[in-house]
Amino acid sequence: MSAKWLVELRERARELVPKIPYQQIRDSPSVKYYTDWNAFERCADPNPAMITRAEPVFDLVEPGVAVVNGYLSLGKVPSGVRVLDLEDLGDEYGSLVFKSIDINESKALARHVANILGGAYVEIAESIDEPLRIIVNTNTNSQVLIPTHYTIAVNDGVRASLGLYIVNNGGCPSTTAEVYLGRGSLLNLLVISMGDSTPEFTMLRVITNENSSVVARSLLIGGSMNHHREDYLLQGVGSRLNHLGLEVGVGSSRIDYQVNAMHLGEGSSSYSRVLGVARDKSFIIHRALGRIFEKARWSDTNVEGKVFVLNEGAYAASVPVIMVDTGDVNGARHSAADASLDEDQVNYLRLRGFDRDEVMDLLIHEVVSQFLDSLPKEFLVDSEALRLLLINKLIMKH
Amino acid sequence: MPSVTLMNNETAESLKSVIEKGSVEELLGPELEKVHWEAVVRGRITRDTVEELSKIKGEPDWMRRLRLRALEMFEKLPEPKWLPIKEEIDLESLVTYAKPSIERAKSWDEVPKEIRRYYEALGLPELEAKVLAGLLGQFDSEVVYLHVKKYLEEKGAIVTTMDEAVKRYPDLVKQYFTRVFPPGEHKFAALHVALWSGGTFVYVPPGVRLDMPIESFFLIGTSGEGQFEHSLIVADEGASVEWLEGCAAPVYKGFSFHDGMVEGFAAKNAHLRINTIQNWSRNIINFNNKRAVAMENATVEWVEGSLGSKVSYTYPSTVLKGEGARTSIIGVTIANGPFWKENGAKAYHDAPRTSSKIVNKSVSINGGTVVYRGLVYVRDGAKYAKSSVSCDSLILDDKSRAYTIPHDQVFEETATVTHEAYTGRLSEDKLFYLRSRGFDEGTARSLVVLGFIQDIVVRLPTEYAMTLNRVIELEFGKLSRVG
Repeated sequence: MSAKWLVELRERARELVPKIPYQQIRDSPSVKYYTDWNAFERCADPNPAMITRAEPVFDLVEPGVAVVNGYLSLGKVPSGVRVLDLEDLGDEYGSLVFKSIDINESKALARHVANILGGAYVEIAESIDEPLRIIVNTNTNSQVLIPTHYTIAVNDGVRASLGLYIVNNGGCPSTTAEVYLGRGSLLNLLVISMGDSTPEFTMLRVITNENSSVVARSLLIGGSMNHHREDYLLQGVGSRLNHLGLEVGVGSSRIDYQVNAMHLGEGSSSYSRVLGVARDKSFIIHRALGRIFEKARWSDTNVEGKVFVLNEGAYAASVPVIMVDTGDVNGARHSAADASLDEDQVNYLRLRGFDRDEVMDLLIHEVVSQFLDSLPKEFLVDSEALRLLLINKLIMKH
Repeated sequence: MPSVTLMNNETAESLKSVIEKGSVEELLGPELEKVHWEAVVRGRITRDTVEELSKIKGEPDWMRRLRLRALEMFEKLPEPKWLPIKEEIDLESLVTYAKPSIERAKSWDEVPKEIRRYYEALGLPELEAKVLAGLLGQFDSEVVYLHVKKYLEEKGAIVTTMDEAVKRYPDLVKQYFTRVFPPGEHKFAALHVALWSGGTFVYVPPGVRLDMPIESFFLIGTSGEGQFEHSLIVADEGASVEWLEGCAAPVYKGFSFHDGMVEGFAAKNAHLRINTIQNWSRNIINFNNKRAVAMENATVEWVEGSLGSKVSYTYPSTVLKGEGARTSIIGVTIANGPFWKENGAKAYHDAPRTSSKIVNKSVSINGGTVVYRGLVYVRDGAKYAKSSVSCDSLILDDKSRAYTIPHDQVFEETATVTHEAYTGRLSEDKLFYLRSRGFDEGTARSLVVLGFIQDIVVRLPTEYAMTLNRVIELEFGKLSRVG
């Protein structure tokens, strides 16, 4: 039996679903939607017959919190961290859930909330040395929506590391997370999204407080239609974001990756860089927004993207947007490059005996290494595990 | 009018007057005696409206049918979600066609005084005498002045009004008209084709390279009007042509709507350059549809100076259809006051080894908003296509805004597409340095702004560059006096 706040929230969302579109704004007649929302229409709303308890199909790292098909179980939770099942939250904590996310925004969000199956409320009250890892795993043969939600609060002055792994083994994972940073806190955030042949929707929103910092690293691999959005609301005065993302398109995957750095606090600063690799018949999209609102005076934002299209049939799109609402700005900068392999470099390597596929593998290896080497030291275990996984998954065997 | 005396000094000053006042209102003054209209179309836009317009113009049946098809599209197409323009326009309240009751003149003496005064204030007669191969002046919905120098006739080039071309060169017009920019693309393109009137037709035959530019100047004489001029500029194989487009309007009590279209075609090895200085008064809602096609090894260059108007949406676009085709799209946008100015660019790479270069510079002040919205599209098979986009915005106070919204869509593995943008404020250090060297604040500001757009100004024709420099000096120089 769900708490009253959750029942009401679901009900409100259910009413919204038929009334709102998946996407509100089209940029121009020549620009189409980057996410194929029809793919999500093919994901049925969940019913108990389709979804059962299952073991996680994931042994890369040890989870602190595992949510499989919406069912929550606890593993190694560091001390100073409190985890509550979403279903067990009383009205007081319940009122904090979805506080930063407007469910009127899109049909994808409304459907997500209307069908929400589970999730957790996490409070990190003290600094932790070991990362807290949340594994969100879907594991079903049915093409059914599996929505879960996470609200994470990091207390004032706390230093913590959080890993969020979204692993799709069937079903349509739909994941939302809101992360609140307290004053002067520091969060190392690692987000891993592993796609499958079914669509997946992710929306992460991080809200900073005064002088708080977030070091975010995101890795997106494959997915038939992976819509992945990260919003960083730099609300606190002097708050900071350092972000590096890597999206890897393989097979016939399509990834629409969107990173938004929105400055509301004075003197805030953001840097976001996304690397992308598109191979086979994949289509990868990098959208980034650096926005400085009127009251975020003396802030600066820098969004960058570099996408490599490795072979015929692979596609890429970049949309790096900057919006500045005040002249009292330290600077706003963006750059993007959609590039083929440098022919000189390819020739050099081929002269040394590498064939073209091996050259591609080397490039992927280099990009993956850049990403993994940038992970904060707290994620050493994750880094090693991911390196093995990526090399096995992405580098061709010859 | 002291500005007129100022303009008479030297050649370079003449075109400058088009924009030197920053607000053209100052130059043209308020709308005075209304020019009498011989024919007017207004009210709800229906099949009858379009039929009536076509009848007044006495045009061939194929054009009437084309208009009606476009009207059907206009009725069917959805309201554009990508522009906040709808709230600004009540189409039913507009005069959609206004024919001034004068015969088209071939010399300025034949132009009635009440209209001539506008063009004289803009310095166009002088400019024509000194640097232009041909000049076309449109007032409201019709061309009131057309003078083509013998030079063009000798070269075999056709320079006439679009209406005339439809009647005299139908086969030529049919090849290109609405083929470059189809009316079905969006609602306002369809509206334009249904209601178009006036505009310029230029055809340069194969191998002919014109070394003097041709200019068209568009004026909207009163409020509550819609102007829908259509210009078609064609450079046939190996030909070369430069076309200048100027736009202005006096100050009104209400607003007017401009929904023009420019179609360009550069055949194999041709060179087409289109320069626009748009300085509509702050009562104009400006929506412009601009596109050119570049065939094999052809070059299309756009220079778009967007200075005036209340709101403006312009995206010069090039379809690089032939192998080795090139384009450059250069934009300068100034939003001084509570105005919304979108000046974007689009490059479609549709063939191998095509290249595009887009440079956009914008300045916003006094609550102005500048927007760059662009697209680079590289089709699968456009091998080794290259594109670079660079956008810089300068915000001069805490009330103004700058948005940069580019889209790069690459469907070809061998292509290279890059984009860079920067938005910053006026540097206090630079201002301080200039002031310590004896410049007053206004001069210092205008020097900084001029420095900011310098690498664009050097690519402009000399006349336009000087005009732009002057407008910056006036716009930003006077700020210090205002405080």
